[in-house]
Amino acid sequence: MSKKKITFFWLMCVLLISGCSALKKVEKKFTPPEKLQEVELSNTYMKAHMGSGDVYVFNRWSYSETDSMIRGNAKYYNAYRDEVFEDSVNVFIADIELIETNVTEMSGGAAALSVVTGISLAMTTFCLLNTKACFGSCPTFYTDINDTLSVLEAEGFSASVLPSLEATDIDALKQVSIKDSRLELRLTNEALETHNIKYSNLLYFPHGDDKQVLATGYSEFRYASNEKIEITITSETGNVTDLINELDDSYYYSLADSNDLAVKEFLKIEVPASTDPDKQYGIVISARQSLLSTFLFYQALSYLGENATYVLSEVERSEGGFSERVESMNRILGDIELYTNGEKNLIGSFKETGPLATDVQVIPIPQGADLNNLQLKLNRGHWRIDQIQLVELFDEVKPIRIQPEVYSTSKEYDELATQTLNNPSKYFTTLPGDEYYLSFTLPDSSSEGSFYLENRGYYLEWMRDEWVKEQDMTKAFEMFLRPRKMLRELAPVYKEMEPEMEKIFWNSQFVSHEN
Amino acid sequence: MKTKSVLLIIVLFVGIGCATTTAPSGVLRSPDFEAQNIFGGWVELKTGVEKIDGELLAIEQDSIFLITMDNTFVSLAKDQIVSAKLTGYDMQNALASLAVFAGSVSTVSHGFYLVLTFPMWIIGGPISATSHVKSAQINYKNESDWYNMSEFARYPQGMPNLDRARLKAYNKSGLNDLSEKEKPRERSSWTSKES
Repeated sequence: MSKKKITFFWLMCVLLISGCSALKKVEKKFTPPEKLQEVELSNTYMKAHMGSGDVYVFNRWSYSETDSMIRGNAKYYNAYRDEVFEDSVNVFIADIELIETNVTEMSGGAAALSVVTGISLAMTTFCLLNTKACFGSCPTFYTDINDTLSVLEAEGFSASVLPSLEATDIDALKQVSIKDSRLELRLTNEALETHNIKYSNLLYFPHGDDKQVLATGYSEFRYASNEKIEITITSETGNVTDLINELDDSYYYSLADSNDLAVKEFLKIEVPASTDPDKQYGIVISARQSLLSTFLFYQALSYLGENATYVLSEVERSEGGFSERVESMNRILGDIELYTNGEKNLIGSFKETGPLATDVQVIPIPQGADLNNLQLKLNRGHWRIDQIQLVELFDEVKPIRIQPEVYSTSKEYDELATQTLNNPSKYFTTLPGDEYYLSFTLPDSSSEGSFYLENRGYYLEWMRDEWVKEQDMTKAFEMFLRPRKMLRELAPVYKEMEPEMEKIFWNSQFVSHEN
Repeated sequence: MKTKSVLLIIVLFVGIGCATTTAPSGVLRSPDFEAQNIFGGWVELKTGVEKIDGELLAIEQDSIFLITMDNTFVSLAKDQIVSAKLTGYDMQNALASLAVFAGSVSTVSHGFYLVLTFPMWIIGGPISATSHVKSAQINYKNESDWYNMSEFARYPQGMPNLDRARLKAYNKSGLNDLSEKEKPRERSSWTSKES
């Protein structure tokens, strides 16, 4: 951790803890003098209000029942609040009109603020100790629902961390905002990364309410029915159908294995007997990755330390062997694979990189395939599944591809940015903190249909001081050459932070990611 | 969007400040000092014709007594009063705002979790802070509020018989300002100073 971050951390701790602990409310308690014995001696101060308006403020006191007198040290003020003296005094209880004590305690508001502070400081501590787990993403696209609510729609080409890994990524847009036949998305760079976007196009499929268009994961799109077919999904722990039969931000997920991050699990899918063998069906999966792949990627960069640039440039120059090695750990974690008849027949897979935005893809099942023994195979702790559906599939469909106009955050048209983003021979580059609006003009006014975002590009991570300190080239190369061993070795490290990461990320009630 | 966020933060912080008082700076003491405080809270009254504010002296069956900052003694019948607000002690607006500000700023250290923790602070922070700040205030809504307000009066036991012309709001003068004649008796039927 850098000195600046340590200073920042302690400054925030001091400000927040001292701020919240100093926020108190006062509870006053008044006692008639004849009930003086009810006043707790633990009260440091006690005020004795006299009938004349005078007041004694005791800072030390005791009560004598035998002579009905209060003895102690007090400041004495007359009714005009002039301080008359401070001394040891005896005051007859019969002369006292009212006894006042005060208790300071945390107010409800301050208590709530303390809870928020606790969560926030835990998050700060966690992120400063585990920088790799908190920083880093890729081009992020939002739909602004209103001035305060934004929906995270897509993260572009998350796996493309080098120019040689440049790829096209297609993400379903689930909650679009269309005004005057224009669909608008907010593009941000929220990480310490340089994003190079070759293009960012809207794929539009006009259709009515009775159907939908689904991406197959292989840049193909199919019409599908909107009719819901009831299925039953069972995990190793039991029936999880209720959790994943709606696209509602309630996710099925398992935790990673404690000894080996590569351990797999299975979800069994039971389809109704009424399915028609003459029709083609598909399994629709709406899911995103957990933070496991993010952790492993940053751990690899961390082990590479100062050599990261050199090694990554070697990956760029190599003919394939080295880059294959670099990708090996990711391949072991794998996609969500759909099988029939146990693990014998692989039908297809759901592939999406990144822990932020949920993507929706359909895996078409060949006509005539055995629908009675479907199961999904996935790496434990690697996926967050929002929905699994069975749908009837129809013909392939081609999209209407729409290029964007780029606007600044103040909504001023940026011609140069628009030309750059729409020119395939150039890259539109964004730096940390950059933000733009992409506006897509739809060809018709009905605006009904399905929408996807097609991005192509790559991004470059900025190395951080914290990562260099973990430099260990032996471990770095083991991650590439002996990935299975490292997935076992890193299991305890990941498991230590996994519950905290998941708790904060998934239990938050404050932000809606998407519907 | 950044501009909107900044505006939102400003609006929310101003929201904390909405729990306002007309009390001059320094007259209300911190909650920790309240156990030693010998003055009343700050009361703001509105009748059908005027607004008046000052140190709350006492509240009795039918009347409320206060003294304004220019040391004018005021006695008002309760049924003349349209609205009343008492601030018992320092509301710590600045401290609460600082805590929310520090909390909001601290979320820059949360990486991409900032999308969760920053809204948590800018929504939950000001609500909690405002709730805290308002715990120092009592607004008159029904008869029981007069009783609650009287706990923060200079004379919670009721208005004593005294020379009202000599009363000063938040009087800071001490023993040295008193003439010998004005000093209390060394011993009385009700008090004795130990030798």
